[in-house]
Amino acid sequence: MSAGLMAEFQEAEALLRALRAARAAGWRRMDAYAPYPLPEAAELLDAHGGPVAWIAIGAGLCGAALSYGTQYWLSVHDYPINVGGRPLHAWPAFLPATTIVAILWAAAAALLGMLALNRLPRLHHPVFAVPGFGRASEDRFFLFLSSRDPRFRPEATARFLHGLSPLRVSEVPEK
Amino acid sequence: MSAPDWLRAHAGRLFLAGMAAALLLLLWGLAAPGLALTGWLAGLVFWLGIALGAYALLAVHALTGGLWLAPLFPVLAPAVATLPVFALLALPLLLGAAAVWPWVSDPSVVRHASVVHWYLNLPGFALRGTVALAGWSVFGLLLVGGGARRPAVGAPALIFHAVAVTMIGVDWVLSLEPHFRSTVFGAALGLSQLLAALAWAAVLEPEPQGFRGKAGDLARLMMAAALGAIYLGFAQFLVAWYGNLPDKAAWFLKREALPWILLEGVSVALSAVLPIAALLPTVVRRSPRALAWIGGGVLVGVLLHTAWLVGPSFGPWALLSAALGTVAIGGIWTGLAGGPFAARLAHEVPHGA
Repeated sequence: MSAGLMAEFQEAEALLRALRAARAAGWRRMDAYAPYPLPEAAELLDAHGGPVAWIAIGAGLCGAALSYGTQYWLSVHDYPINVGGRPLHAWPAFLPATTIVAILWAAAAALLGMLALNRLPRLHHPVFAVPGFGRASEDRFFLFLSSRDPRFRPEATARFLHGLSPLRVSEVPEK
Repeated sequence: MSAPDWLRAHAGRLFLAGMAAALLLLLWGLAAPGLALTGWLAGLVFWLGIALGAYALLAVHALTGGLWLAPLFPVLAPAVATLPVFALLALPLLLGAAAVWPWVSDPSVVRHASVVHWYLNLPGFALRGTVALAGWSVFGLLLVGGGARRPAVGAPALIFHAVAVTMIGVDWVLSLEPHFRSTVFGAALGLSQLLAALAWAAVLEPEPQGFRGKAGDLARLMMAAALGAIYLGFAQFLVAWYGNLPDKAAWFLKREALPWILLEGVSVALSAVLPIAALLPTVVRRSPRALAWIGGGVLVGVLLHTAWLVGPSFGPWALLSAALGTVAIGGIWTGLAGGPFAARLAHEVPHGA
């Protein structure tokens, strides 16, 4: 039993054509690999960065609240100092640190959230068993059709992929 | 009908409306020259700001190249090409300078005599204004002349701009109250001009023919400019707040009183919070309609901020004269920029990378 089939293409346009064809044929459980971002491919795959944005906003707001709250607590309750008659709750002076911490938290959360959503870091993935897959980060484009898609039939799917004029079609092992 | 077409079709009427408002201001000016000219100044700083923001964008593009300017070029180029018009529109201010800037009639309001001697005097003021407007006009025409990457034009145009915008910011706006100083004022003014120019493009043509689906680029530029403008604006306030020196505090206290604080509150909401928050979702960034609305909000915000900067020296009536000045200069300028200039440019200038 394999995890699915992988087709290798020479050019980005060929991959996009294949993706469009697969999508039109009703495929949903599939993935694509390319050396550089292809926005249209992301659309065809229904891939969204949406959750990362929400994670970043949530973390940014938490960081902002924590930073502002800490400054407020320190300056007003824990260690109040009269600085030239300025109010203890010196909000203009609190804002720069609040902004910086919010951005730091948002950026860190975006990175960590992206890694978590992609289930990274991960030491091995079955796609690396595909011969020549390393070139996905150089100059080749790959389309993966998962065997978990209800339309997957080993032979029919291989025929379908061969019909898209790939360089080759390989099997992706389960593990 | 797209917004630029509408402008072109109504150019004559806009021009007449501008002239009518200018006439009203003129009549007002016979009774209260200071108030009327302040309104004119507010209008000039706002509309010139759009043209100068466009100038800065064209200059940056001449330096860096790239395709990013191409969708904005049809809107920004006519704005830059009309820079010479502003030299004429600035003339009433020079003629009535004594009614607007306190140091013209009474140099003793400036604390140091050497400042009056070397910088803040009427001949120097006229010379700097002339050099700035002439330089902007000449570089502007060079920048409009071609869409290609030309560092030899872009670099000097930007360097000139950095100096000129600081000079004009100090001369025209800050010296209304000569005791207030802020070293970041020129940069803050330049950034809000950049924001205004981008908003102007968003209102008129967020996604021109041939650039469908590219509205997101303009949205991102607008967001970055809004962040930069609010950052510098706030830094200026924070430095004054922390320094707690009487002259700087007095400037802000005057602007913290009613009705000015309301103006600035609405301005921050419209020109900072609105573009930064509303443009966060991708859906909004890609929607030309949403961009046009947000751009309109930003322009109103920048206008209110301009009135907040200029008006308080002359009291609440300056709000009305600023409104008249905005209609006057805006009408005259859009009448020219949207009409004859845009038509000429549309034929002569290839929009390219």
